[in-house]
Amino acid sequence: MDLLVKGLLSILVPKVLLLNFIGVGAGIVVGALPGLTATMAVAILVPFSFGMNPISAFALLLGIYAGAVYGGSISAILINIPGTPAACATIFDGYPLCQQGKAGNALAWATISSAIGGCIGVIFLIFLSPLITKFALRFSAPEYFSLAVFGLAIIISISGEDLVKGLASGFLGILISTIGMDPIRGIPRFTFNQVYLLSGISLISVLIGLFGVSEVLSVTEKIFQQVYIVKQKIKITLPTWSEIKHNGGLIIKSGIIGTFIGALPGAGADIAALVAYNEAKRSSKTPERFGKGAIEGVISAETANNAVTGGAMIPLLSLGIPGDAVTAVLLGALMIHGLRPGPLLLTENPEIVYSFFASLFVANVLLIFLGILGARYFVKILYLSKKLLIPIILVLCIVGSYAVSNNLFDVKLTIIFGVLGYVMQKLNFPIAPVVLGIVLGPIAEVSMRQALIMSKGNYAIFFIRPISIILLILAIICLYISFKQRKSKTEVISSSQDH
Amino acid sequence: MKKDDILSGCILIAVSIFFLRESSFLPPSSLGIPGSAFFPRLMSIAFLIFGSVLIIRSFKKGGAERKTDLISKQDLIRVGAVILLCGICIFSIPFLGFIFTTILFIGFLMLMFQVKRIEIIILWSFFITLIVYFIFKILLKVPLPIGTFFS
Repeated sequence: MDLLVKGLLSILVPKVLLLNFIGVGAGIVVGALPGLTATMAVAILVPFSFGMNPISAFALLLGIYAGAVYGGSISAILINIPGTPAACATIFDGYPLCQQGKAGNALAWATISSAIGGCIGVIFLIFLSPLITKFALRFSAPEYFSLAVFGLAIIISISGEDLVKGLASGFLGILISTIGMDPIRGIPRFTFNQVYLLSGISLISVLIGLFGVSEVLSVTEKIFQQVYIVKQKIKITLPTWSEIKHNGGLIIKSGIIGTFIGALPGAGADIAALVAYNEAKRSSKTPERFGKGAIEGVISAETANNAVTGGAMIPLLSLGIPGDAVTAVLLGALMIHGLRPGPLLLTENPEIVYSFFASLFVANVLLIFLGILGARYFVKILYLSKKLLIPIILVLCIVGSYAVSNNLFDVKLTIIFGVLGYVMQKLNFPIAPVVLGIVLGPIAEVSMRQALIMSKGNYAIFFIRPISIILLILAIICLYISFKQRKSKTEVISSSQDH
Repeated sequence: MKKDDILSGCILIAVSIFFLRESSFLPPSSLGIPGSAFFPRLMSIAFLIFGSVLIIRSFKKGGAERKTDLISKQDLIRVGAVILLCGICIFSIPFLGFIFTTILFIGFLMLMFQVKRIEIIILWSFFITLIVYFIFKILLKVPLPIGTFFS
């Protein structure tokens, strides 16, 4: 409790509050623009945090995270295009509400649901992180290897429609992570006599390239396509207290769903939103209203997607394993600010970690004010031409990746990974597993080799330790379920084509 | 047959062969403990398998033929031009410096996107360069290159 109070007090300082506020505002702006994701927003804006202390830096970055996930609902409701993948379920009922002249009501509910969902996620984060950290302090090399395999299995099993391509993406990430010095033997691998590759590929360059530059190239393809916006005066109609109470059960249920899905490594806000939406529809007394402007559809999706922000931070701060792509970027940011992700983070830097909890909580509170007061102004962002936006984003990508270590080599890497990400998207390879492969690959390799040194080359060490074997079994189950689901989906599609 | 699966499969096999060859120069495992080459070789062999699966799968009966091209010729030229412009920008920065290169970069991008009004192109190029310069050079103290031409 002391630490929580200290964390809150460290945030309630004008400079830090201002950074949190700017972060939420910037996040909403980026999130509202279709084609720009929360991951891109955080990745491109990480360089802005250089030179700040970790508390200020994360006040900014977590503000961006919370704002961007919510911001996607603005375009989802107004133009039927999710601003971020997290808003994919919001369009089902958000846009019909807009067409019925209730855009203001939908936006107000999206704002309040997002804020409450985010706060639910933070509450679980505060209570679960220390518990998981205590448990994880018992982990040794075999457990870390199995945990990395489990994390990869989850992300691969839920990414994209094709398991083979998902596996290839994850393994590509692991292969990329082997570039640089071998952490055990100290031998250079795949450096091709490039001095700058000895320390490996910069994670921030990869992230800015894969999520920033590749998205820009995708948007460039469709630059001349028109987007039609239903023109109506946006009048924010706040829900009454009794309406909020009436939907209280739905909000709490969706918040819990979002938090726990966010806590699974690799599962992001889009999945959480869809699961919560489907659950809300299933448990509703009038499911036929869903898809035609049921406000419960907007509430469930938006509560869940913002709850993910807290949930995804749980494995990041307690285990050093990102819960989604955004937290993979935050992991990079932690390392840049001299903090070592993992169970020791909370034990060695408790004040800093509790300040992160407080930042995320305050960001969700600020979201209510910015969302409600600023909605009619944020809407104007949608009228901004992509022809003006793309140059800004590309310049930020170039300068941002340069700023990591004042080196043009990192910029070249960013462009190369941008092209790679674009090609992967065209060939239907999911991108998120690459990032998690890069992050989890070194954990898996180093842990495996250390475990085998411990056991003098005996592979049984992974199967005789209870936590390790449980995680490996869970990984196999994940992949098997995913394979069966995809196989039955393919059979359904084939049989409908035969008819 | 699925063209993108064949292309993907070929790329994966090519990457696999490349990394298998490069990892042959790394020290092998010893005393049962994996060496530097273990993980790269494991991933490369996996790529070989995945690539083969994709190619075989694409020839299986019932695979849907992709009706449209992966990308139209016009879009490909536009995307390629953006990538080329980024490359030129990166190689120009050490010589022309950040400010001059960025103004030109933004200007050329907007011309490529057929922004018609020249005053908007000029104003926007200068405005964005100024803002980015202020944030990174002045606020964050990132030493942006001046360029050998201007130093």
